[in-house]
Amino acid sequence: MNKAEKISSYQLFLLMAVSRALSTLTFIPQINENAGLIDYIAASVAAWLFMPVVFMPVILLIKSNRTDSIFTLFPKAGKPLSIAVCILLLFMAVFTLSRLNLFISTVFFPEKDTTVLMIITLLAVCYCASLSLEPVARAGTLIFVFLALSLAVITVSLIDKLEFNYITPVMSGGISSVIKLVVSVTVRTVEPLFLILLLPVTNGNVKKGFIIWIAATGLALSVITALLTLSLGESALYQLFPYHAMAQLADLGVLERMDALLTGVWIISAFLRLCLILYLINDICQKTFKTANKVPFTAISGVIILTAVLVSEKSLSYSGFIFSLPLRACLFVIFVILLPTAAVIKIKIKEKRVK
Amino acid sequence: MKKIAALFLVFVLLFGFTSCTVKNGSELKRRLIIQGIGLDLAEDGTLLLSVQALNTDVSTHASSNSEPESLVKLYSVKARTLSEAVKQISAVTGKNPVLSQNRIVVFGYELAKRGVGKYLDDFFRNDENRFSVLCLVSKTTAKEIIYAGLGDNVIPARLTEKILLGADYNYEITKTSILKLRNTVLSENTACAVPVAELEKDENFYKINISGSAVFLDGKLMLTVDNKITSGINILNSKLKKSFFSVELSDGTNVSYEMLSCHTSIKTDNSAERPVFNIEISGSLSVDEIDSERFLNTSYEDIEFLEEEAQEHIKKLVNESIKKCVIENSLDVFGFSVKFKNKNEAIELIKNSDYNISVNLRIKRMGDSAVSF
Repeated sequence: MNKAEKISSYQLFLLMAVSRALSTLTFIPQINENAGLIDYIAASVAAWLFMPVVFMPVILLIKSNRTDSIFTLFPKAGKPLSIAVCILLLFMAVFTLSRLNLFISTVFFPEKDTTVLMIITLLAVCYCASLSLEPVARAGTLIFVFLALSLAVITVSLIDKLEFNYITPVMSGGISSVIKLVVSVTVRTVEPLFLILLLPVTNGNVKKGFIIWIAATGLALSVITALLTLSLGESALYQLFPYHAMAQLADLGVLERMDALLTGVWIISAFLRLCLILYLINDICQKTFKTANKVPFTAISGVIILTAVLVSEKSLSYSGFIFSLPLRACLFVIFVILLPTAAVIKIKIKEKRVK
Repeated sequence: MKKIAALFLVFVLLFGFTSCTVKNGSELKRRLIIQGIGLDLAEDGTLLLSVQALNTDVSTHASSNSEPESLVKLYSVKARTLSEAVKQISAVTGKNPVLSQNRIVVFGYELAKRGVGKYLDDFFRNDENRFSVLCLVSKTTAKEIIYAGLGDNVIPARLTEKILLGADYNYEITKTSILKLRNTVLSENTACAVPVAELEKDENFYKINISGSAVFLDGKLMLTVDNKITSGINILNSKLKKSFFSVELSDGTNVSYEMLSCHTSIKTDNSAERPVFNIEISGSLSVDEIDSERFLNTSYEDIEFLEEEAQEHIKKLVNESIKKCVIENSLDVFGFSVKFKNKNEAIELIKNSDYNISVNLRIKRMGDSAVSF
């Protein structure tokens, strides 16, 4: 990365918003037999209110106003840590591309092979990731506008189709079922990791932007979850892609099957997230191994990701391992909570020593 | 180097435009555009699928000025499952079926009584099939409805769909999608009402008549009710945009009302020994016609009297629907049981609940007829 190149905080948070929206819109429900439909809405709201607590280490890290990479805080552990983060980012890319592949092969091409499409997608992603960060950030701003507009249209068209008879008493299955749902919503929010990694190259008031991002994202997710449960009812929990099914219900006058409108936006959002992840992998590897752009880490990552996706798509049970929530929860705790916590502790220790 | 990479990428991306090929039978005449499907129980216990599809062979004869014999073509096949039956249709016709344009799903009466739950999976698993499609029950067989000619230059399935969409303006017709029917299969105690249709002979063609509703629980037809009970169900479920009804007064005068707006709110009170459901129905009315000179110059007392008559009428409809569905047949079409945490006891609880119904309908307009202000 060019040291002088920076992005603004609003570009960063729009990138994070698109990424988080993608996680929600392509999520596959885990069957929680005791939870009533209202519990899903309650869990979204509770997770939203709980997020400032969960991300407090990230907020403290932002407050420290560091301009260097987080890995420089750990002189001995910096290299292994950066490799671990790269592996995590590779996993996230595999996850995103696998989910995209599953979506496309279920919705568009149930009888055809999507290998060529995945190869073409990854070629385009590798090319875009090899450009600088700013084009990716600018694309994120544009995609956010399309995403927000399409969600607004879907929301308006679903208002007539909401059935409030689906509202069950809160916690009818007990508090443990709601807690499970809160955890599953929270661990899907891995975007603060992007914030941690891009903090040195972000201009503007990042702390304020992060708090606004938490508030806006949480509110939007709660509203979308409410729309989903009140429009589809119990069927929402038994669809592979419930938000896509919800979009199928939406119509405005003669315009039916609004899912077609949303599908394109979702695919572009997945593309953007993949670009960002590959860019970050390339940047971290170039700095860690000090190769000065001589080694094509983007291409190498692309090959690894494609191989992993093509192997995992052979059987749904292989994909199940990648999509497993306990695995993602562990990675979330390690990299989104413990890593910034360790960084904050290290900064405080350094400050005390200086004093 | 990056320019070369970009050009190479553009070249590769061009292959993305190869989806519109002839090989997969995407030409119109190679596709069977299904407009309506009917599901019946065949004699051997398998599924009998009847299909009404657009006659796309018409387009190939456009230049020869020939008249099409019919706008639709009709097919029937037997199979164990819906998806198997749809694939057999393509074997019979040589065309690729398109389910995304399907307008209605008709269930035969016998199949509905046996249970339709297991035939709903294809609507959700197959992305081409739409679960928002409306469904109805035939008083006889679904094939009869699907095969009925409803007029010249008419696509019967589309006409039937329009009749069902009239539920927005007529509280005697209920409108139910496959999604709603499936949700009653997935949830334990919730029932739903599906319109019942029968054919009436009308000169050279048939006419579809919606003669009431069939109440489904767990995907099975449990009860059929008439239009009056259906009205009560629709009012309580707050499903009306507008509607119309007539009331006969004690002196034989007939008053026609139009319901301009209607909203129902249901509040549950669990504090007493028996649960109490406080149902409030509010809205506004317009008086369309009164066949008596008594109301030619209407006073405030007359308006109040007409409001009370309308309110009594609506209250009676709602009361009868609760009594028929919930109390006599344990069918919760209104979502009352959802309010209780204990799902196992919910039905017994709502059967033994008290229902306080208050109706507050105000006459907003009397039409262009004198009112003594």
